[in-house]
Amino acid sequence: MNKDELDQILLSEKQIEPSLSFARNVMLHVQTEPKFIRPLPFPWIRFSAAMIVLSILMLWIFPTDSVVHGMSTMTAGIGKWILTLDDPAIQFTLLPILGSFAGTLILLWLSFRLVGANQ
Amino acid sequence: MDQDTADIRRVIEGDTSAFENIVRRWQRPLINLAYRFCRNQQIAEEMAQDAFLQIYRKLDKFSGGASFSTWIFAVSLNLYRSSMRRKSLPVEPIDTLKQIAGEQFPHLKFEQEEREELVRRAVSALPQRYRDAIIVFYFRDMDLKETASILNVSEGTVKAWLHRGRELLRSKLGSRISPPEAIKEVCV
Repeated sequence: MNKDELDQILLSEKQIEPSLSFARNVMLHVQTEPKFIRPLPFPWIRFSAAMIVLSILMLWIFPTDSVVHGMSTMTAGIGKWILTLDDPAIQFTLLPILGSFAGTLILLWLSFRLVGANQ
Repeated sequence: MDQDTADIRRVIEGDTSAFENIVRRWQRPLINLAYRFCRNQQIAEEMAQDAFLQIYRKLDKFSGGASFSTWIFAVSLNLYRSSMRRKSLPVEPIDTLKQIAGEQFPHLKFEQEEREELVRRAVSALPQRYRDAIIVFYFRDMDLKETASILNVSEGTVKAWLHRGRELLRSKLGSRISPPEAIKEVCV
C-alpha cells in the first residue's frame, strides 16, 4: 500500500443513502417538540402614548413651579431627608414620584396584558 | 440570505415545516458522519435523527458567527460522541485489529476491500480525540481550519491529534499500511 492509498481510503469512504422515510420520521419527532414562540415586541407606541398622557396629567395635577420648588427643596435637604419626611415640601415632591412609579407599574401591566406576555 | 438562514428564520418564527428543508439538505452528510463512527446504517440513522432533534432545539442559539455547516457538524459530533459512549457500540478493540492485520493472515495479501475496511475499523477503534480528528478531517475533505472549528480546538491541537492518531494507526496496523500522507503534510 503506497502513501496515497491510505488517504484515498479515508477520503473515498462509500456514501450511504438515507432511507426514504428518514426525513419524515425526523419531522414526526420534531412535531412533538414545543414550538418556538416568537419573541414579543415591546409595545413602544402604546407605551409612548401612555407616557405622554401620564406626563400631561402629572403637569396638570402638579404645576411645574411646584415640582421645581419641591425638587430644589429636596436637593437642598438631601442629607437629612429621612429626618424631614414630615416636611410638607418633601411630601409634595415625593407624591409625583410615587405617582409616576405607580403609573409605570400600571402601564407595564397593561402592556403585557395587551400583548399576551402573561401566557 | 442563503436557504439555511431563511429556513432557520421561518422555524424560529413558528413555521416548523421549514425545518424539513434543513433536514432534507443535511440528512446525507449527517448520516454519513454518524456512519463513520458506528459503521452501521440503522444506528447511523438513529444517531442522525437525534442530532436533528438537538439541532432543532438549539436552532435559536445559532448566532451566524460560524457557518451553518460548521455549527451543525459540531452539534452532531458532540451527540455522536455521547451516543458512542452511552450505547457502548461494538467497536473492534484496536489490538484485535492488529491481530487480524498481522497474525491471522501473515502470508495473504489483503484484498483492496478488506484493507479499506481494516483501516476504517482501525480508525473507529482509536481513542476518542484521535478518532474524531481523523474522521472529521477526512469527512470535511482535509480542511484543517474547519476541522478545528468543528472540534472546537485550535488548529495546532488538531495537527497534534492527527499526528498521534497516525502513529497509533501505524503501530497497530503494522507495515501493511502507510501513514496518511495528508496527515503527514499538515503535521509538517
